[in-house]
Amino acid sequence: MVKTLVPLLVTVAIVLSLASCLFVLSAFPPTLSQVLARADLSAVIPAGTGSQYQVYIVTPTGGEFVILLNTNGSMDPAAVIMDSNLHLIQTYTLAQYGTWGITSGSTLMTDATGNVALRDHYFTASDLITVNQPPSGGLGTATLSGPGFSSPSAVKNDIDFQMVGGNAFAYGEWPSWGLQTFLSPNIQVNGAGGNYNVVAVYNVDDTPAAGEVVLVLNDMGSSSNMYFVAIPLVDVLSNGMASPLFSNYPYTTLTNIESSSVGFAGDSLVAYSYNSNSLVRYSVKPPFNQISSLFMGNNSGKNNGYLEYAYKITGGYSVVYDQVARKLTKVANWW
Amino acid sequence: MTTLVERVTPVNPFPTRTAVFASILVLFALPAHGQQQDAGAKTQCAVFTLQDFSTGTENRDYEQPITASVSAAFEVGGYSVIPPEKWSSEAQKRGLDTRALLTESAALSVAQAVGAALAVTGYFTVVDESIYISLQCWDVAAGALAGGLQQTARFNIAFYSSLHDRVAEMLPKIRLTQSPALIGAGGAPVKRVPTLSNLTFVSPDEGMEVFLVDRTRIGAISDGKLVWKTGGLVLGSVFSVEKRKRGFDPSQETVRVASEVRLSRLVSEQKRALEVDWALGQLLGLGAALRVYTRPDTTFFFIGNYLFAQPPLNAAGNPVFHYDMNLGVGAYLFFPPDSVVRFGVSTGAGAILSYLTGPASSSYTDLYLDVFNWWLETRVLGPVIFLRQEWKFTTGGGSSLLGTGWIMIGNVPPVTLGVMFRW
Repeated sequence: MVKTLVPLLVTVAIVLSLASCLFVLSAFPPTLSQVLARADLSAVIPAGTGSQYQVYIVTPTGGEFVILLNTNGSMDPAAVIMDSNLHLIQTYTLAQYGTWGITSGSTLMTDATGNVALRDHYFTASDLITVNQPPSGGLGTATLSGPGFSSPSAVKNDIDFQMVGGNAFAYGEWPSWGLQTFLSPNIQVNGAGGNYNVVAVYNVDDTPAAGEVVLVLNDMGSSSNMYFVAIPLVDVLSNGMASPLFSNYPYTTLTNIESSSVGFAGDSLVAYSYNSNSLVRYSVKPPFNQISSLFMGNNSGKNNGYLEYAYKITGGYSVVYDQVARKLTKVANWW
Repeated sequence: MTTLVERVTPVNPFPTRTAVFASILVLFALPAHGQQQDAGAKTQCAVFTLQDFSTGTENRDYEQPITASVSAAFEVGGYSVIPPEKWSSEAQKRGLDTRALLTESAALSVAQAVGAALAVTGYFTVVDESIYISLQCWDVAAGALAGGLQQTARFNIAFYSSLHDRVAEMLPKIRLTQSPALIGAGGAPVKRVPTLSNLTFVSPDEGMEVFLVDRTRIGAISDGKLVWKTGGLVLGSVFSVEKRKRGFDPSQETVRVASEVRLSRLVSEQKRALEVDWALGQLLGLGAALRVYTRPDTTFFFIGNYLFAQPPLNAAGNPVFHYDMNLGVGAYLFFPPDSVVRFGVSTGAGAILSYLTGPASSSYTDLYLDVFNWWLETRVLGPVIFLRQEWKFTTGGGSSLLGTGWIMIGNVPPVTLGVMFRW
């Protein structure tokens, strides 16, 4: 009896799993059924300039926003502020920046007290919600320039990184922007076995002192190799990071990954793989094992090369920005 | 009936040149004068001119070389072929032309007058690059069919050689009732070949006309049957007929000679059809299409639609509904309507309307060109079942979800399984 039942059950399981795959297969992207909101910004962002914008999901105290920031810093709109349902609240112009004393805006960071910094000034949630509201204050000392990476944990914003001259600088716990601490040029990413771009930095633990930071690097040049490097947060905060990174910290190499798709979604790291035409979830801990994947097919709608992904770091959803069509789509996480 | 596949040189477009060349081959096939046996020991044989029943007159030139080829085979096989001048003058005396000699009575009468024990009649038809030839060998003394052959072959220069071989194979099977003194190498008078002079076709298709493959009309089914005076067909041999009836698809059928031959039913012409479809990539849905034929069972216009749902991946998602509408034209190729398997192609255009439910409720339209579809269908399981591959190219646009490109399910174009109901 058991001998008969086992193969039967296995067969049924295989057939059902295959059938479920077939039913999900479609010419349309599978995430279409996860869409929560869409916004057409083609009337806000001039045609041909969509690639100059970077999408962020920020959660300052009292609000949740989706911001498109012009990383070029020399054209309008300098920033597009939307609520979490992609309703347009306002756009910032270079003229407004000038009035407010902001030299120009190409860097966005968040701090522990729930503010959002654009270059050298910070905004509260109230500032972002209120149309034409000036920033609440300036950053005091150093101005933020170059690509910056905020890596708030699930409970608070506790670490930021900034690239300057090919080196990455880490900012530690900030009670406010006026008490920022430079931890010296302690992440040597160039000349240590290769030249790399910092793609992202994620503080993946809610207990910062004992937790780890995942530094995401990719090769400079045409290679689409990507690296996840796990670094103890205490090394970052104590200015004790060892160099070169790959000799001192566990890491994994991923091939053929779209760097604009990488995100930290609270419980996993996510990236689009050209090898499998899939969105792939990875564990946040070394060796960063693959957890699951979603086949997007050849008709994911657009070439992924001009799609940018931003994940809400406490989980729930992501926002996909189409640089060509200048459209935003809010998508519920598929797992 | 044998179908030869060998092909050396196409017959057309140089029929005359081929005929001359064939005549030369036939001359070489005849035995050398010194090698001939004594005519007195051989069976006398009259080979009447094989008649061209083809449409038109362009194949008339082949009557002589084909007849010569048959005569040569009889000569080589041990018969003495009576010179044509001898039997033609005898036919003229009787007021018979060469075509009249096809009838059993005329052939036997002339053959007997010239002293032949065996009379050979026959005809051929040429259609495109194929030839059908039918030979009858009459036992003059018995007044009955002693043998025969039918053959369909490619009509090229190799045909003459193959015809010679087939006749040579037939000769040992000929049995004559003539006295032994007049029988040579042709065989012994021991057994007559059973033949049938009347054949009855039986069919439920009242009024259906029956033709030979050379388009000679046999008659029409009346009261469920058609009696055909065959002039003598060898029992058990096979031949083909074409069946026609207004409102039905023409059909060819190969039958075996028997006193009663039951013909299969004709398939009525289909002028409308309804498809019910199920497509890979759209499995949570169902489609239907209406076909209107401009030529029954051959060419058609179609209008189709398909409604399918895209399920959410988890509780956070919401179903998406897609409605695919298309129209176009299609045609069947290569196989006739009564084939077990048929092949067809179609082309057209369409649009997929998509409706997102939930908080992002909105609708979108993807226009596409149905660039090329092909399908196979079969009736082997009863209803018509088809499998179709579709190459669709989306044109993009402002309200498009798919952008511009080929529609693919995974890495393959959509494949549709369907059932068709026709009337």
